[in-house]
Amino acid sequence: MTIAVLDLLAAVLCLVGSLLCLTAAVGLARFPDLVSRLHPAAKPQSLGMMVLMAGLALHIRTPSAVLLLSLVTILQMMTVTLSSHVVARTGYRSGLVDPSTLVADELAEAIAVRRRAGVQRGADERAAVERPAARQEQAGPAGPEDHRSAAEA
Amino acid sequence: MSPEQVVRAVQHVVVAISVVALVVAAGFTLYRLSKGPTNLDRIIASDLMLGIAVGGFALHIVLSEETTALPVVLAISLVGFIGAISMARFVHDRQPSSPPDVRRSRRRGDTGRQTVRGERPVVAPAGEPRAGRPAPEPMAGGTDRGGEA
Repeated sequence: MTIAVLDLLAAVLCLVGSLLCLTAAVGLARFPDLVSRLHPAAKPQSLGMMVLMAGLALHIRTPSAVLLLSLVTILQMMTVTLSSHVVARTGYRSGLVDPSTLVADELAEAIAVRRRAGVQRGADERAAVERPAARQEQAGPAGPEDHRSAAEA
Repeated sequence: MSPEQVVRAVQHVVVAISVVALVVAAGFTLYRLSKGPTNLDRIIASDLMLGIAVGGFALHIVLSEETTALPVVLAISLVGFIGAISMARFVHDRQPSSPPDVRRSRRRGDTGRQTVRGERPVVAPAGEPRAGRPAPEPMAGGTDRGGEA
């Protein structure tokens, strides 16, 4: 490929990347819900960045620049995932997500499981505290079954 | 004109259109940044704004034919998301801050009352741990049991 073709291809890729970023911004402005807005802020945004970096790498044709821009692309993929996840989780835990709009809610089950485990752990710790004190009161050592059944009541 | 000049002119026109597209994208993001009913919407918009800034730096490199701004692109993409994550950890958004929209509220309302979309649709359970803080652990060691025989 000649240099002119590469330059033109780089310009076209920059245009496509910018249009994808514009799509992301329009989606962010127009979507109705917090969780819906996470989608355009993550997906067309990261794809637009990748295409833009590809266009830039085609424009600067040195190996160090290509390496740097591929590193930027990989970082973009990782960081967008991270920040979307953290924001979605914070929004869910703040009660800003309408559960009627969700098809599947796996976080609720995970929270319920964890709360049950936390309650059980707290009960076990209280039983472990009460066991030496109870052992001095009673004649023989009471088995752990008594305390666990008392804790679960 | 020579072919190189034609190519350069076409390249400049195309990149200028991309710059305009990025500016319009920044405008939309600014709209969401100012309006977003919760702080989390503003966090997302600021993250997108940083991405648009990266795109702006990339187009500057193409237009000026110099690679001076290349480390800036790398630095912003490295640390740009940390702001979003750290702000999201410390946000306890329970109520939207700006007046809610009434768009799409006509679908519901069997009683005729328009449900305003910004009002809190779900109540988190009472024992729900807040964002960013783990559930309080029960105190190990007991409270007043030191002196009991």
